[in-house]
Amino acid sequence: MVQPLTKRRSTGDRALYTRSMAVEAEIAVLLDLDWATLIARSGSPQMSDEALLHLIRKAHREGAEDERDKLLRPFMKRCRARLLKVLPDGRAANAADLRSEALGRLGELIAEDGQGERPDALDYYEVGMAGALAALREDLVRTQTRQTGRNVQLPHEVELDAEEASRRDRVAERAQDLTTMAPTQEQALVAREFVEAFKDLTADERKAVLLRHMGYEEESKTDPDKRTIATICGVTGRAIRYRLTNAARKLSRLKEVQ
Amino acid sequence: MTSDMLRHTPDLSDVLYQFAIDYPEPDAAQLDAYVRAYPQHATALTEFAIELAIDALFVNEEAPAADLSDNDVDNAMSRFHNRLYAVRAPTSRTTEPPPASPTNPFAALDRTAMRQAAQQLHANSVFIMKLRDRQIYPHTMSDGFYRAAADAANSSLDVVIAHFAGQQTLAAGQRYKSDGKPATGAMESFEEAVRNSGLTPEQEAYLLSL
Repeated sequence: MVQPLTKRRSTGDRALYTRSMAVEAEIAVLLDLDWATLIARSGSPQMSDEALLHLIRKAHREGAEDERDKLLRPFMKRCRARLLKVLPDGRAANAADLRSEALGRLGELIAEDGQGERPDALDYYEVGMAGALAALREDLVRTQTRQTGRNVQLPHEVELDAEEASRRDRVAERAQDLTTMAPTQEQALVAREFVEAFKDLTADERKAVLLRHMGYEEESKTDPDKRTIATICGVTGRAIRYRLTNAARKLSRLKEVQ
Repeated sequence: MTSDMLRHTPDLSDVLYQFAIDYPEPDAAQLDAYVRAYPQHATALTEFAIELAIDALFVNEEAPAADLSDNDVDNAMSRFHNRLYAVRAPTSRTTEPPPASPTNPFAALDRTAMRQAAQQLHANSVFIMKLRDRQIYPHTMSDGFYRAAADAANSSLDVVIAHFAGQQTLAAGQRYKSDGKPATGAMESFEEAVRNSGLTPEQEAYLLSL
């Protein structure tokens, strides 16, 4: 039997976290294999990251140190690849440092598994590796931000013309494409275009575009309590429209260059 | 349900983990539900949701070809072993008093043993003395090097890791010929230590490949 997770949700009935059925079934099969076979398979993409982590934790609990260490290195390489994909150089000024720090912190979490104040912290990673790694990164960023302070940009207030409003809508359309299109080569091209444009956007513009992408309205004239891009960013609807228009202009410029 | 959520007052870290696992690509409605449940974390949740949205865009990109070295992985492995030693240390203190500082597996080596260790490690005495005196930043050493160093010093991996993680000190029993007070040497990265120890190109290549 696969050892159940002990981490509980923070909400509602505080139910125990559970792995996906696919990961649970995969682990059940892997547990019938000997360590040598598991180590040999640890580099294969057919073994999920979540299952590999489960094996590392099992080896750690059972004192199988050599086996644990041999499984740990390929696991770290997988995590590095994941981090490199979502946090390439250029997405953030300190992307390389952040990747390295996240990987190092993950190593420490594995060493702390089963001990201390958060003995089951790794349960999150067996449930969803991508989300858990993202949360770990965010934890590190918040720590760094507390240490260095956050840069705040002043809001922009300008008039809009009809053409700019039209460009603004195109940004939203582009963002919408990313979630509605089939996973085709065309989608990959659209995503690349968007990612490339992101490097030219200011933090405020990026925030406005992404909130629009998530489905938030620019502002609400009827319900002042409604969360909108304007209320979230703490500026007027006009400032948000300006940011979206600027973002659209940069996206258009990129397309012209290409 | 909301009052139940608040009663537990989970810390922000747990809320973010839960949010990311529930909604790897959150939309406005999902984010707003969490913000209603955890109004005290509204800003952090929103910032994080934006990061998740960016992740979703980047994850479809091809992985960059750069940064293929294993430095980050080596560093993570070192931090794993260092942390492991640290979390195990308090347990051992309950049964027997620990030594004042980690055991130095290189300190007991006499001249002959040091030569043998150097030979086994494909290095020289200068490099072994840097290991003895903890002149190399431990986070720059690879996991493979830790193992090789443990073998060369005829010691366990944990002892070697603890030694390198310890504070730099002057080796006891060494003779110094100086008018001033002896001081500890400058710290180097592993690669710098390899390059600056008078090793042959073959020895350098071997050590850097570990």
